[in-house]
Amino acid sequence: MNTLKRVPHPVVAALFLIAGLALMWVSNHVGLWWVTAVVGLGIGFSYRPARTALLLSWLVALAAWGLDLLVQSFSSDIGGVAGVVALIAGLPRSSGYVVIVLALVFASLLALAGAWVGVALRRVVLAFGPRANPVEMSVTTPIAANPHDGQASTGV
Amino acid sequence: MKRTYRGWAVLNLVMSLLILTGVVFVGAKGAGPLPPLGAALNPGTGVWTLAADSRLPASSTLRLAVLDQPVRVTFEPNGTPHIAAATDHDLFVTMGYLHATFRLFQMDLMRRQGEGLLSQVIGRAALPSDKFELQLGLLRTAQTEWSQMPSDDPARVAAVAYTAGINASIAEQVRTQHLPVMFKMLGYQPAPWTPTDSLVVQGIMTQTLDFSTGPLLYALLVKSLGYQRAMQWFPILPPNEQHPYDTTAHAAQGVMPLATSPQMVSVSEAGAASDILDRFSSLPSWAIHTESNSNNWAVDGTKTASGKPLMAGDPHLAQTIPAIWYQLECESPGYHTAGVSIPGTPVILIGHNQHISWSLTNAQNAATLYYQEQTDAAHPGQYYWKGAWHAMQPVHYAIPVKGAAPVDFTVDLTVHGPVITMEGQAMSVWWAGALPSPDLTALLGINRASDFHQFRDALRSWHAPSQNFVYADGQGNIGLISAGYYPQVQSGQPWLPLPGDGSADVVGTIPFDDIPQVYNPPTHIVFSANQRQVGPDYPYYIGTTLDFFDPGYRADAIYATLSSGSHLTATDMERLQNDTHDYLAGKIVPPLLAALDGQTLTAQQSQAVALLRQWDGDMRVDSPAASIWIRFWMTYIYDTFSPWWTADKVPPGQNGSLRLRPDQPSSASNVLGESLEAWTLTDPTNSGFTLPNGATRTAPVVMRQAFADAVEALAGQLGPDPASWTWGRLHTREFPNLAKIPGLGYGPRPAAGTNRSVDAAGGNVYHSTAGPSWRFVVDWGTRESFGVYPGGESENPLSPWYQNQIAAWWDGTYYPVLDGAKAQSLAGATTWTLKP
Repeated sequence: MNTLKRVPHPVVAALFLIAGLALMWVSNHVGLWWVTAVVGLGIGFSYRPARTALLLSWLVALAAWGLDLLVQSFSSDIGGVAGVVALIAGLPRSSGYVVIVLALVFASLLALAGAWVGVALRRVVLAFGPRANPVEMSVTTPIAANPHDGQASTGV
Repeated sequence: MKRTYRGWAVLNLVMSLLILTGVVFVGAKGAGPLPPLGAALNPGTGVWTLAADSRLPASSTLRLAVLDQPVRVTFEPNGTPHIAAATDHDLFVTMGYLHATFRLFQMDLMRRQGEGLLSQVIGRAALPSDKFELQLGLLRTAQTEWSQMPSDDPARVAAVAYTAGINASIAEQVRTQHLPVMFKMLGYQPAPWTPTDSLVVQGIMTQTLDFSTGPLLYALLVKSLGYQRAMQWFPILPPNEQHPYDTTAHAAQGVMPLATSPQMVSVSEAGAASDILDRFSSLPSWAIHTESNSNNWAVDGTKTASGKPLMAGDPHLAQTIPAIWYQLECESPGYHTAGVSIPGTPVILIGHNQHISWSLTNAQNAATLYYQEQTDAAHPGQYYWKGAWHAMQPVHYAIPVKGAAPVDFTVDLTVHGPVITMEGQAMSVWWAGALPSPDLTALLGINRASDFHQFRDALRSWHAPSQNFVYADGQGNIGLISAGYYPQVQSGQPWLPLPGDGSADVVGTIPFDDIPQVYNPPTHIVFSANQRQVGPDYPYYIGTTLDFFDPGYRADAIYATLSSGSHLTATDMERLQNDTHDYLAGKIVPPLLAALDGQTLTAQQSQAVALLRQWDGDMRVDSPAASIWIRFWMTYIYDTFSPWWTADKVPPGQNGSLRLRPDQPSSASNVLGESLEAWTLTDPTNSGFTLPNGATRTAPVVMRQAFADAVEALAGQLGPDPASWTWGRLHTREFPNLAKIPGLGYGPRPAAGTNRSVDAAGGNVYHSTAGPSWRFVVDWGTRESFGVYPGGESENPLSPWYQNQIAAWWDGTYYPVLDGAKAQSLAGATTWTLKP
C-alpha cells in the first residue's frame, strides 16, 4: 500500500495547512524563521499535484508572515520600522513598502523552495519505492491529471 | 526507463536542495549588500521589534538578578532616568543596564572602533581604521590599565558592577531577540561586555581629543616654507592678543627651556610625514584631533545676583544622533551625582553633586610626538637607540573581516611607541593617551568630592586626555585645573619629528603643582575655551599655535562678558552659551571699513559696505553681513598667504589641513588668521604681506582686494543683491546619524554661529556637524542646574526619546536638572522597580 499516493481528506488538508501556518507564526516569534521552509517541505511532500502544493505553501507562508505584520501594525509602527530599514538600506524612507515586500518575497522563496524539496523528495521516495510508477515521477505532468492517479488514490 | 525516471527524480531533489540551501543561507548570513534576510525580516524576531522597543518605559517591576537589593529608576517625561540604589554596586549595575538598554549599538560600535574590530561586521572598508587603531593600541593600553588597577580601586569595583549590568541587558535582549535594529541588519550579536571595553571607550574619547598630527604638519611646512617662515607663521606662542586664564607666576623645576634653533627636515622625513598623513586622511574624522572644542567658566559670588557662584560648561564635540551623552542622576550611599555620562563608561563625566560642580574643555596641549627611528637593512627588525640596536617588539593581530579571510597584521613597537610608517623613514609615535591613565578613578573621585581640595586631589591621577576642569561649589569657591600629562623631552623641538636615537626621549611631565590652574582668583572669574592657558612667561613647552590651541576668540568673548558682568544669573550664563557673535569680526570689520573708506566702489560693493556698517557681529541666520564677513576673512587669509603656498608648493596635509582656499578654512588658515589679525591691527606693513616676487603690499591693500573678491564670489553664488546674502543661505547645521545613515539624523537646516562664536559651529564652515554637545549651567545660589543636549536618551529611531531634546537645544532653552524626588512628582514620570 502506497500512502504517498493518497489525497488527504479536504478537512484534514485544511487543518494541516492551518497547523502549518500556526507553526510558521510561532516559530518566527522564537527566531526559527527557517521553519517556513520546513512547513513548505511538508506541504510539498504531502499535497498533490505539485502545482497545488507549491501554491498552498506559498499562500500559507504569505499568510503567516503577512498577517503577522498586519496584526502587529494595529498596535505598532510597522510602517515606521519599514521606513527606518529602508533608510539603513540606502533607500528613501518612503520606500518602506519595499522592505515589507522583500520580507514577503523572502517568505515566499523559503516556502516555495521548501515545497519543491518536499515534492522532489516525494517523487524520489515513489521512484525508489515498491511498484514505482514512472509516469508519477514526471516533473512536468501534474499528478492529479495523471490517469494513474485514480488507481494510486485507491491505495494500490 | 525506470532508471531514467529515478535519475530525473534524484536530480530534481538535488536541485531543489541546492536552491533551498541557497535561500536558507541568504536568510541566515545575507549575501553581498543583503542582510541576513530571515533573521532580519521575519515578523517575530526581525527588525520589526524596533516598533515595540520604541515604546516608552511603563511603570513596572523588572527582574535584574545581578542586583543585591531593589533599585528604583524614575524616568522623566523627556527620558532622563534617576537611579536610587541602596548600594554603590547596585548603582553601577543599574547604570550599565540603562546604558545597554538604550544605547547598546552605540556602545558596541565604540568598542569595535577602539579595538580594531569594525571590519568584522562592516567588511574590508573598515580595514584602514582597524589597522590604525591596532597600531595606536587603545586595546593594549586598556588591557594594561585593567591589569594595573588594584582590586580595591573604586573604579575596578564600579567597572565590574557596571559590566554585570550591561551583560544582564545584553542577555535579556538576546534572549528575547529584541536587539537594536542595526545588529539585525548587520547580522551579528554583541559579545558580552568586559571592563576592558569600558576602558577602550574611554580611550576612544582620549584619541578624539588628544591624538594629533601637528609635528607631521610642521615637517611638511618646514620642508616647503623653510624653518624660519614656518615658525614665523605657525609660532609656538600666539601672535595675537589672547586671554590666558592662568596668569600666575610659575617657576620651572628642572625643565627644558624652549629651543628655537633652526632644524632641517630631510626628504625622507617629509616623505614619512606625507605617507602617514595620507593614510590618516582615510580615517574617520573623529580619529584625529583637528579642532578646538568647548567652553567652560565660573564666576564667584561677587559677580552674581545670588552672591554664590555660577558655573557653565558646554563641551563641543561631533554632534551625532544618538549623541555622545546619556544624561542621568545617580544616588547611592557613596554617590549623589547628576549630569551626563558616555555610554560604555560607568561614571558621570560632567555634572554636579550636592557640594560641587564641574565641566571639561580640551586642554589642547601637545600630547603626540613623532620619532624618526634609525633602521638599517643590515639590522632587520631593529632600531638604533641609545648607542645600540634593539629589536622591535612585534605584536601580531588577525583582523576578522566580514565575508573574507582574516587579515594578518603586525605592529612593531619601539621604546617610543608603535611604528606607523616605514615609507622613506621609519617613524614611531609617542602618545600620552597610550600610557595607562586612571581616568575612571579620578572621575569617581570627583563624583564623590565635596570641596576643591578633594577635587584637585582626584585630578592628580588624570593623565590623558589633558582637560581644563572648571570647578564651583556651594561654599562660594571657583577654580580651574588643566589636568593631564604635558610631555617634556630631553632635547630637540617637539613640534617637529624628533630623533629616535634616545637624545630627545620624553623625560617626564610638568609636575602637577605647575600645570595651569587657579583657585579663587582675584579676577573672580575662571574660563577656558581651548585657548593657551598660560602667558608667554610660562616656563614649560605645552604646544604651539598649530599643535594646537584655539586662536582665542571664544575665550575673548567669554572674558569680555564675565569680566564686565555683575549681578549675573543663570539666564546670563545661558545667553552667553548661546551667543553667536563672531568676536574677531568686531576687531577686523572696523579696519576693513576704514580701508574701504574713500575708495571707488561698485554699487554692489557699496551696498555690502553699508550692510557691514550696520552689523553688530552677530552671525544670525538672517544676516547678510555675516556672509560678507566670513567670505571676506577667508579670502583675506587666502590673498595674503596663498602666493607663498603656490611658490613653495606647500602640500595639502591630511584632509587638506594645510590647504588654503578662499571659500574654506583649514587648520593652517585658522593659525595664519592669528598673525593676520595681529598684523592688521598693529602692524599693517608687516613683511608677511610681501609677495614672493618682492612686491610689497600693506594690510589695507590686501583687504580691499579680498573684499572685492569676496563680493564678486558671493554675487556669483547667491545672486546680485547683497541684502539677500543671508548667512542661513550659506550655513547649515546637521546632526548626522552615528552610523552615517542619511535620514536618521537631524537637519541640515539654516543655522547661526561660526567656529569662533561661543555657540560654536564646528566642522565645515558652511555645514556644521560639531558644536555644543551638552549645555550645562549650575547656579549655586538657588542650587538649581540646567542642561540640554542635541539628541535624546534612546538610540531607537522610532522612540519619542530619539531626538526629543533637539528642539530645546536649537532654541537655546534648557531642561532643569532635577533630583529624583522632583522627577517622581512630574506628570508623565514613570518608574521601574528593579528587583534581584
